[in-house]
Amino acid sequence: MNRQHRRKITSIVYLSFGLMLAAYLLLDAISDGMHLYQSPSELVNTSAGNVYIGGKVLEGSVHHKETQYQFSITDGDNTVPVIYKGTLPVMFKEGKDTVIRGEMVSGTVKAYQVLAKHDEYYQVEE
Amino acid sequence: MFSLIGQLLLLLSFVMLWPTALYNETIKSRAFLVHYVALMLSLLTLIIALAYNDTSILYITQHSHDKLPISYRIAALYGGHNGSLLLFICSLSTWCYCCKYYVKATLYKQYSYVVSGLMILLVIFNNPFETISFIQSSQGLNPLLQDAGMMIHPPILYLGYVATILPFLISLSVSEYKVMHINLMRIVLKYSILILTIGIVLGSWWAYRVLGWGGYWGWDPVENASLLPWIMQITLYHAVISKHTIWIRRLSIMGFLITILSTMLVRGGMIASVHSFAVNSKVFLGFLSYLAILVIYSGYHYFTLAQKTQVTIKPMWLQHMISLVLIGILTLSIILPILSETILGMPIILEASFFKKLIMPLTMLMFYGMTTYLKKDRMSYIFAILTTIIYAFFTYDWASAILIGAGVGVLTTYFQINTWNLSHTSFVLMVFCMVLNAHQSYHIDAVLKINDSYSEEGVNISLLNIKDNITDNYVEKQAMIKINNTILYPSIRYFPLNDTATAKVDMQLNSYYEWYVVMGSQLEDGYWSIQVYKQYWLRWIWLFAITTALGFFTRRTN
Repeated sequence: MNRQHRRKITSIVYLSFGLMLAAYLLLDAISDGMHLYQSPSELVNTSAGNVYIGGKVLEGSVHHKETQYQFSITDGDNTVPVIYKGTLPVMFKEGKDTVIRGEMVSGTVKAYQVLAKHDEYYQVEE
Repeated sequence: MFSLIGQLLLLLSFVMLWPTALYNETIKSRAFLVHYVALMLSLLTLIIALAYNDTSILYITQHSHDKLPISYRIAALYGGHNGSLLLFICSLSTWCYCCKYYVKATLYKQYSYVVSGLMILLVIFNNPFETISFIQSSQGLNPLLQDAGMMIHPPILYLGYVATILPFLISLSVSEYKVMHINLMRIVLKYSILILTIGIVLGSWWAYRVLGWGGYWGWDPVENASLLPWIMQITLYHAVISKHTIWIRRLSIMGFLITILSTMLVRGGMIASVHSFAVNSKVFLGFLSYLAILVIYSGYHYFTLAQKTQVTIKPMWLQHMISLVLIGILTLSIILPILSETILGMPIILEASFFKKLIMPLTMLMFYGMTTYLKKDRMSYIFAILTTIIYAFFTYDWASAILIGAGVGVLTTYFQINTWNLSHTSFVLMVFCMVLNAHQSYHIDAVLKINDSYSEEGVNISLLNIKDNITDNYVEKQAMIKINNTILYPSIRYFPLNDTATAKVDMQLNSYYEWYVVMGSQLEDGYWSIQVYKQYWLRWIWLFAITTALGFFTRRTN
């Protein structure tokens, strides 16, 4: 094994180590930060775990007690109840689209983030 | 009348592209001049028509309204797809016009090919001068865009976006770069990086004040798309100063393609945001086919020209690789949600943590790269490790601690050798401010009646009063909120014209932190929900972003 071989081997070791680290970081980032939206119909049978729901706020379902809100999200077929403690965005309205991040606890979503989906985004209809 | 004049000018400008591509030098440059002047006059026509609120033009009916003040009526120029495409082409030609004396022989032919595609898109699919075919009520400008930041952000950003056209045209037409070309690229890039940085900062500032979610960067697809040309131009600048011709050619061709790609993604209506205008799929397909033709065309030129180039210098591998990886990640992050929505029916969401986890290691690599051309000594390593340990001891966040430590390493190295690269230094300081901002900032939710108060974490919030204001354009409920000893006036504005409500935030600035208050919705029994944010180092992030760009103007010593 001469010097050239050794240099080649060390560079391969470094490179594979770097690639492994990069792959780990990528997978870690994906598992942590990449999610698929779900619709209320897909969530009817789940009872636990983290959820990311997109849907419409059911008309007449928004109630509040101090900073705690209760409302339901629907996609037309099924509805899911949501509990949220915090301030709702100004553009949050009954009958409008919303996006919820939260945790499913015995059939109810405990939300930790509520976004008004595309509502603040105004579009000209043609 | 404006419609007719505008259409004729656009047509003249389009027709003039033909002699620009074909005949001898004198005719070419005269044709280019006529093309440019006609194009700018058509832009002026649209601006005048907007100022007079000529409702016979469809675009104006859709995006402007006579109740708006004149500044916002003119801002409606880029409040919709058609007008902004016209502005895009105008800013593109302005760069070429400014540099026409330097690249006379090479510029015109490629320019006319590239721009004719865009002009076809403009005239056929998105004619801003299209007349109205049926009576339609005025829709007015999006309330979120009725803001001082909106007045200047889009044109500045556009001007920065399209500067890559010059390196692109040069790379398509010459087989060997002359010193003049390299210098021209460097000068164009340093101006465009400054303009683009100002544009991005303005966008961030606008989003911070207007959208009311209390942050400066949301990793929103549109924000990411604006980063793409920025990264591309900085990378190209590094290739240009290293004079590695193969990489200059690669990056300058990629640069313009990326610009068109990000414009297409943002403006094509595929991402629902304040920047997309619900355009039909024809526009998107038009853009897509233009991009496809451009890719094939420039690919062909690249392979025929690249074979003739030979270089002996080492390229800046690390810098280019980091940038390409970043561009890959950001492009995928824009495209993946769109793809998954069309294929799976549900979009993927990418949270801020996804970007943070990927970009923090890359930033560390960047910090390493900032010192590779300098001699490092033991002191900088010791300082870096010490800072890392101290920072991790206080925050328990190892990733941020290593980042801060690496940054301190860079700064100590610069200090030891006493070569302060302004861009690198400000970039490191900007990253410091970002990390500190993420760690220190917090927010409080409160639900209050008039004369109520609420305390949390030593912050006392009280709602003193609510006042009604009525203007032509909106109805406003303005609150008077006392936080500790300062009084702030956030409000909610309702725009009857668009049936939209927006939150107008109020801020109290201090040297390194600021209070930021958003009024939420009114609850039924006289209660109001109020959000109070305390943001640290935010203005410093923007300041250092600008000084990073200004650093490109400093004379390099080594």
